[in-house]
Amino acid sequence: MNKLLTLFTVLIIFLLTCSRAIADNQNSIEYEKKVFVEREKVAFVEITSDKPIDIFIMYTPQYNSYCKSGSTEGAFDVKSITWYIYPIPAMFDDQTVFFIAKDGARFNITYENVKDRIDRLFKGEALLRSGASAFFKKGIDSIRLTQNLPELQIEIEASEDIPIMALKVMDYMALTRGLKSFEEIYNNTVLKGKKSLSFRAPDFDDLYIVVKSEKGVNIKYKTWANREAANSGC
Amino acid sequence: MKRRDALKVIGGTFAGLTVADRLGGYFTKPAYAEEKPAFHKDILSAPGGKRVVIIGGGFSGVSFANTLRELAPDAEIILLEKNPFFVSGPSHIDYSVGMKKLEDAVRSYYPLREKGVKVIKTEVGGILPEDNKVMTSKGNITYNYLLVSTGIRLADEEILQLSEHPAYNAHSWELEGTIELRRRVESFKGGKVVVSVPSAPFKCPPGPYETACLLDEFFKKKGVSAEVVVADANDKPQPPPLAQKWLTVFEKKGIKYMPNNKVVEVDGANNQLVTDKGEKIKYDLVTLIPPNKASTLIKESGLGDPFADVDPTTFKSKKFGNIFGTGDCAKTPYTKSAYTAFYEGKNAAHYAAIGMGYSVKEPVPIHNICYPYASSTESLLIRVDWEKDGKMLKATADDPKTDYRDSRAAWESTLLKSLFGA
Repeated sequence: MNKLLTLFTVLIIFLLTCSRAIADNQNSIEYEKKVFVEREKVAFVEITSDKPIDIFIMYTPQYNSYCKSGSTEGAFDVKSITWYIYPIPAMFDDQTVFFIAKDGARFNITYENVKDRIDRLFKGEALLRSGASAFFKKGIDSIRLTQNLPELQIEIEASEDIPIMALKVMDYMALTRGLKSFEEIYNNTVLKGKKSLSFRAPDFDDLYIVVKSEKGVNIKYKTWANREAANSGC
Repeated sequence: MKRRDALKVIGGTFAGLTVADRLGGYFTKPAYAEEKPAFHKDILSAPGGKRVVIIGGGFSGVSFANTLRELAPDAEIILLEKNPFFVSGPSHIDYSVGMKKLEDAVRSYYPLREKGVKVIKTEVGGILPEDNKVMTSKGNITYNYLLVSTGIRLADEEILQLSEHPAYNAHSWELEGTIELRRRVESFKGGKVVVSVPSAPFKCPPGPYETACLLDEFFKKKGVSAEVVVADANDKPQPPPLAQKWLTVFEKKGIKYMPNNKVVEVDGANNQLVTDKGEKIKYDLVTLIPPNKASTLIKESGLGDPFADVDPTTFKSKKFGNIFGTGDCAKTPYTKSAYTAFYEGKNAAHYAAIGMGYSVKEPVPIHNICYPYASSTESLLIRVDWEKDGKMLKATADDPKTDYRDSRAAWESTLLKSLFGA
């Protein structure tokens, strides 16, 4: 009986170890990730990290330069993120994109067919377009949401009960240049909320998500494409 | 939009414009002097039922006028255009580096007049859709059908100092800027050249990158030492599917690419651009393309916000059955290019003719062909086809080739021949 119990225990430990190894393999920390996207596909690269990290996103010419000199100049960078979704559409041509995470990150890549995705949008489905979770430092901090479309659904959620607003560029400049206070703009702006904010983009204009916190705060945002947004071009 | 509100808007729109001088003092009278300013009188007799008014004589407006003339021979077609001549937008880039003479890109509206299209040079201040009226600087015009093809508006007000100091900048998205850019390029003695790209969407997405490539080539050929930099508000060169091809071209030429640099100020006194993050980019020559917006006329007239809300097949307004919207001012899934604008105008004319009771076959869906310059001798290729409802059907792109450079020249001259016959 004891032998049987020991054997059973060893078997359980072995199975648990294997499953963890498989899980670790799927979610292993990587410092560089090459993502190849075949023509007519779109890749959604999901990046996660336990602590806020910076990511540098590069196409081949920028990556070659990085390999030669170590310089990330010319790369698109995102700062202090713990979760990020980056779409790579390959409508005309195969695409190769490199992700450099100097502190390491986990990558999960989902491929979809561009035409299927457009069909689903036109049938009325709402599809995740972009998203991020980032640490905003204490005081006033912000992030720019760009390449918006009219009717794009935007959802923002904070880890703390703090004021959130989405500003257009000239209001944002008035704030950052000290022409108006956070409170003055918050009281007069339309796209605002406490702890969370959900709205449809009014037009194509860039929006700045601006928050004010005492200790720093995690902000998560997602944008969802829909049929109406698709009619404006995706 | 209510009539009273519209009148207020029109007053604001025209006030201070050169139009006020031409109208000989209407604006100097106090507001209470008349119930309506004199320019709100109708300038044409009442329409007979087939009067079609077109606001904007660009690629889509002229294409619409020509096509409708063929499909609806007895329709009264009136084109309202603020400029005296048509200037082909794609040629602006060529002109800025001396690849083309300006006169080659200019066309008169006379060929339209010869076909019986009435062309009126005037500013349009508003539309009253409920009254079927267009309010122009010369007076009101009543329509039975209306096409809105006003193009885009350059939002200088979103770049600090630019409205007050327009001479700090020169760019190819408008004619006057193109002429000035050419002058500055010719007299440039060397240093840092910055091409600033706004957030998408903007008219002619490959345009800023073509400009960077052609400026780089021009200065190299001339022996002028120039560091060409592209400061892009976007995360990658546009349109996104061409990102890798543009970056490869930049790498070969040694053009420096700076993504995620949204410029919010041009500080001409210190020769620097300032980004939204407060970073400063020094320049010796700058060409900054301001954000591209829809004309405020669209929103104020209730046709959409900010772009005219139209059906992607018929280009008919979703709010007003006798109004159509095409080109850069319309909310459609199609690329904002001269080529698609041309075909949008053509297709909208078919549906306008059908609406007027003519027996007309449905047109083929929209497609786009474009040959962006990688240099003066090579162009890239993009082709996109859409389904009837605006869903993208297929897309292709190709690397820079000499053949495509020749195709580009034919592409523009064919468009101009189709519009003006020469």
